[in-house]
Amino acid sequence: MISKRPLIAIIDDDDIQHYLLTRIIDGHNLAESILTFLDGEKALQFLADNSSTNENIPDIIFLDNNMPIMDGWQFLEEYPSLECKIKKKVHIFMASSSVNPEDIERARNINQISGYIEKPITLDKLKGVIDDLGFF
Amino acid sequence: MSHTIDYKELCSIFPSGYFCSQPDGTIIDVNQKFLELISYTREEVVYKKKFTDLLSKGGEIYFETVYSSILKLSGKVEEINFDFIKKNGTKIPVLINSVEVKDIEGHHVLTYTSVFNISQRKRYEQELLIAKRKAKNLSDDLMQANKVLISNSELIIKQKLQLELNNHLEHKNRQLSSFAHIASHNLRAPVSNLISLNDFYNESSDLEDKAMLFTKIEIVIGHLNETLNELIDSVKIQEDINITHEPTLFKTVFNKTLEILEVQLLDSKALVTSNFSEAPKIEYPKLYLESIMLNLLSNSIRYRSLDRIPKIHFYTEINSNEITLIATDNGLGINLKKHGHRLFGLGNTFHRHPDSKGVGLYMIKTQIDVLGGCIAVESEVDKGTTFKIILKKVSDDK
Amino acid sequence: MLKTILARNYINIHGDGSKVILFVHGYGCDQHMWRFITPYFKDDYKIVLIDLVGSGKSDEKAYDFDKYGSLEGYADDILEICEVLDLKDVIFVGHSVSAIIGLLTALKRPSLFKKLIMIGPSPRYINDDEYFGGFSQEDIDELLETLDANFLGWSSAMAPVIMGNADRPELAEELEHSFCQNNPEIARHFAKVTFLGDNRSDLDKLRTETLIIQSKSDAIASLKIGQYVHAHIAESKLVVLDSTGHCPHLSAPDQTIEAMKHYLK
Repeated sequence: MISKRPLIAIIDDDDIQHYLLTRIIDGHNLAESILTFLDGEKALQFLADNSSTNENIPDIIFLDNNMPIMDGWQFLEEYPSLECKIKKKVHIFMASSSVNPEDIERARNINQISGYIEKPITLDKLKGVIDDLGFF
Repeated sequence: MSHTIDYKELCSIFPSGYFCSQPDGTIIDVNQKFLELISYTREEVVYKKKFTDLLSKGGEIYFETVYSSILKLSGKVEEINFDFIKKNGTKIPVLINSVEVKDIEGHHVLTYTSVFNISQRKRYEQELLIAKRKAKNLSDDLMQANKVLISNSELIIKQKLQLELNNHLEHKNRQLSSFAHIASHNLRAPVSNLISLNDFYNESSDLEDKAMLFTKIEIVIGHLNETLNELIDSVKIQEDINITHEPTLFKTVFNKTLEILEVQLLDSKALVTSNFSEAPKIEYPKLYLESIMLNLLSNSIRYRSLDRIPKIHFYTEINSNEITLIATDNGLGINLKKHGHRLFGLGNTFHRHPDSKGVGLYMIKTQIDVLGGCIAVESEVDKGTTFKIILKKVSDDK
Repeated sequence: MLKTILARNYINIHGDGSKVILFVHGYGCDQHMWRFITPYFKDDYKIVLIDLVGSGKSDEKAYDFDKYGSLEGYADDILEICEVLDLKDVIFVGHSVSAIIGLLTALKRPSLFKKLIMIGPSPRYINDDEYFGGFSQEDIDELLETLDANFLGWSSAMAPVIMGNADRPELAEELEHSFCQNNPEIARHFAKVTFLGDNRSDLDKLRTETLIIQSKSDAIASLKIGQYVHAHIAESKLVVLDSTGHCPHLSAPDQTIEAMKHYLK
């Protein structure tokens, strides 16, 4: 049983999305702290830089699939090579405004993905995810 | 040297048959040649046989309906073909000429008929007839084959039209699915943001917080508006299939583009060159060409490398009857492996550049597609990018 | 309409009388065959001469192989001609096959003809059990062969070349000006329709007053056939001329005129 609040990362090119999620998470004390990245490449760089210490590695990542530079899918292609260096289980949730069944199916077939969340991300959806993982 | 002609003898030994008949057809005189032709003796014929006795029944109908009528009406008949029946029952084809002899009052009293054996030429005629029938059959066959060919080619044309329709539908489908994608990413995301912001706004009792939320709402609305306008523009292009094509000089459009981007060009210190000599002009919607050049040039300036002097070159080529516009630069380049599939989508950017909106390439691809052209890109990261745009076939350029 | 039909049947009208006499030629010829007869009627009659479609100078393009596949097609033309020319109480003079065409026309509209004059009629040319037509199917085949031979000899093989030869229009002209020369295809078709038809049953239906003029000796329609026609038409008179041949109006015009005048008195 983990009785600790998680470290949450948000990877999304939309800064409004950052604001909204942060506001919900902070407002309800759902996270120990929040990391925000505007694209996959920056997030990947951060994870690579901090792979030696568990402290800064997020427990949960909310990953947007549609981003410039490096989108969610590309992030997921690159991630496995990092995974082995990271000593911590990172739960990645794809957060998308796409209702395209192809996208949902594609997400289901990627091992690294723990779940698919349809935007908008609400308090209930966040709580559900965090509770399911056994935090608190 | 004079010679007296014995007309009786002449008549008798004359090398063609001759006979004389009464109006009812009774033969009253014949010559030797005629008797030889029909193998009768004089005694068996004269005052014994009528003209029609030498004919078959079918021949008799022809005699009555055609030969006699013509003889009565014009006083003579020429080149009528009958089969005379010889004594032994066999037939001999003959050609006859007849002339009516009238008395002083104009009454028909005698008919003189000359008879030519045409057995020899009849065989040729038969061959001719057979050849003619063969030719007719052949031409009927050819006509039939031609009909089949025509109906086949009509079928092919129909199939081709169907194929074109299918291609058009497929293209429309691609546009639709691309629209669905745009709608979900570029419209749904800001709308859901708006809803969330609005919820916070309603929940919040702090005025300062409300004001801050409102600013954010305004920003999202701004984005939403921009996206909608871009979508509307692209829909306009896709509907604008009948846009007028006018003779357009590449140089003219390019110079206009340089003027529009004068400030950016000065800032970037880019070295811009062009060569449109291979295909100096094209029948193309001027507005589209302006939009294409403007987007390509502004992209090249925007994504220039700061490590070197930007070099941008625009030129035209004719490759296998197609006019191609090529824009090449030595800029940042694009990782095509990573981004190739999204290069021309709406709202996709590949550079962390403050001006990146991901609109330009989507727009020009739409314009090029609508006119049946295509756009290709070659790029290497940190080396540069080359856009090749096949605008249209030269053969259409009339 | 009027113009089309006038041209279609190459209709010629002359004569000073008010009574109408319509002459229709038989198989193998055209309206020229009446040239010895008409002068004796022009004072008392309006004389209407026509060429059957496919014969003489009729409009060859109007020849429809379906329509003229039976004599009814020609009868319809006669009705049409009488209508557009507004002919009433017509004396119809038909030679050979046109005697039968006249018969069919009269059956279609009994009031149209005042009198019918048939010259050398035959309701059927082919022998049939008891009936004597004078010919067998083979005889008709021979006729068709003779037709072919003549069209091949001086027409069929050459005519298309001559007609199509724009450089020598005088050749086409020459053919056109000769008498009784018709398009080979049509002549062949017309021959079949004429000589293979059977209109015996129509004779009994006729109520129009009819004169049958018959040559004493006629290889095409023999006296026997003339008598048969006479026996089957209710209001008929038979006149046998002391003449030879199928065309007494050509071979014995005086007798023919006399018989007609006597009947029409």
